[in-house]
Amino acid sequence: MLRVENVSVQYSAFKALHGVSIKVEQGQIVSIVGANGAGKSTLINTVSGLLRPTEGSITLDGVELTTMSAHDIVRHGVVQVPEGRKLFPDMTVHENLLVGGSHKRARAGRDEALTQVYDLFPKLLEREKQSARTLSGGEQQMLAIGRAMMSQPTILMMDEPSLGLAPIVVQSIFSVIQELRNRGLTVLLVEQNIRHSLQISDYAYVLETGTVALEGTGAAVLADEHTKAAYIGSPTGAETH
Amino acid sequence: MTFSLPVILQAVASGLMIGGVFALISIGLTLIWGVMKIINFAHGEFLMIGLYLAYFLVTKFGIDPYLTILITTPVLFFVGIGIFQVSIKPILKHPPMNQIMLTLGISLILQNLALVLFKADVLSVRTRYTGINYHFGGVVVTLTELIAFFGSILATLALYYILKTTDIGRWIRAAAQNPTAATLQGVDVRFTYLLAFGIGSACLGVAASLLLPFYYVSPTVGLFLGLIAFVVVVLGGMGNFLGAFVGGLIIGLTESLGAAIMPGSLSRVLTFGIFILFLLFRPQGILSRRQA
Ligand SMILES: Nc1ncnc2c1ncn2[C@@H]1O[C@H](COP(=O)(O)OP(=O)(O)O)[C@@H](O)[C@H]1O
Ligand SMILES: [Mg+2]
Repeated sequence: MLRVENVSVQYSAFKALHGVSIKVEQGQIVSIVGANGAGKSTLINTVSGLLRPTEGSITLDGVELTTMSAHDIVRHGVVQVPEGRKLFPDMTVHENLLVGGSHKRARAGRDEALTQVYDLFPKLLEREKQSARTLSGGEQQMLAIGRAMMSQPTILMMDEPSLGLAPIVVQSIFSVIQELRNRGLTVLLVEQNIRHSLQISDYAYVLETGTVALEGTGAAVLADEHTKAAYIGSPTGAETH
Repeated sequence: MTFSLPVILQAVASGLMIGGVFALISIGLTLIWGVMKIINFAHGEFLMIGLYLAYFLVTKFGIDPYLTILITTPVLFFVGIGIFQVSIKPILKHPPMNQIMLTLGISLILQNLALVLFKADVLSVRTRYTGINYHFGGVVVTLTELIAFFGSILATLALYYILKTTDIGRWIRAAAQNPTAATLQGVDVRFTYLLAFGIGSACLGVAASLLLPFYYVSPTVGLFLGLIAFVVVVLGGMGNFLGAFVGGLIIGLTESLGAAIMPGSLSRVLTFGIFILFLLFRPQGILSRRQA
């Protein structure tokens, strides 16, 4: 469904991605793991159209996204929950959700989408009229996910959704991700919580300094000696559960 | 200096009335700043265009001055959009100094264009609303000032309603708060900027038609009103809608009280004194909670 082929990305003089190729199939959870600075956010932002590759191509079901404007990519169903949430802090929870569902394709089903989001996150309904800045970290992440759901994505890319959250909240974010997949959504997941994300992934890519160092099923990558040594159980790796 | 109570009360009344119009003008400016972080130094000259337009509609076509709103508002909307497309859009990502030079340049071009086309004459209109006054105790309020005040409040409320309850309004606020995040919701941020610039300019069409019956038109009228709007925007907190409204009323009062109690040549001292004090001690404005 989503094809990233041989993509390279450059920040002025610094080349952050070197010919990266990944595939995401319908209904899968696919993980991108790697150390800080490996290029995970760069990859997601390039798929979103916020950055332009210097070479390579990105397609969704054959539709060329490589040169499409970022807002059109969202309208085509490729939506991201950005690193650090990036909410509209002075808008209410409800308004944040409405903005998510305000592009043309999403507007028709906005009321149903809103009901679904409030079903999934009852906390957001309670806080509907509060401004986003007053929410706790976990609630903000739920709002960021809910806002992305409002765009009625076919593929949802999540950039470190559990970053900075308490362990119990991390648990609930992971169950939400699985719940979304069970509802038929395709998920591209970037997590620093590597063990947990590999456990729920159908397929995974390990990114190292801008190149794919390893790929395979979540279980295979999890079992890989090199991954273990580099990311799991090491001080810089994510905590285990 | 004169400190008699009737003079003060009169100044307060007139100040509030004109302050309502200052508020509307400033809201247009603060909206544009709030969304795209550009100070439009040609804002006053856009208002001048509106005033000339209203003037000729009234004097050449005999249109009721308040009906000209139906023409000045859309015309100013498109003036804003046109100028945005050809000059602002290409420099959105440029350093602030370039942007300042550009909008200053536009204001000079428009001023001089008006000078060439309309000469330096100070023009005003007499309409059937002129000369109708209301007495409240010792205070006299003219009908034209009253209409300008309530018209400005109405326009402000309408704009507030649009920003608060429509998709376009939410796009504008979202793009102001985080353009990247807005893009990631499928919002076309450039288009939103275009709309905001058009709407901010359209405020001036309304203001022009409301001002004309008791104000004047000249090539440099925008110089003063543009400066007032800038002062109000700083006072209210850059980009703060409610702040610009309150700030407009305050500056209206200050101007009017200054003229009433200070000797002629010093009447502006109060307004710009307040401006400088705010820049020094409260650059975030009266209402904003944090940094400017
Ligand atoms: N805006 C930028 N300008 C220059 N370099 C950047 C920028 N953003 C990221 N980088 C660099 O690109 C590399 C990849 O960053 P990023 O994609 O954010 O990594 P990750 O998300 O895997 O932590 C890092 O070396 C980072 O320093
Ligand atoms: Mg990152």
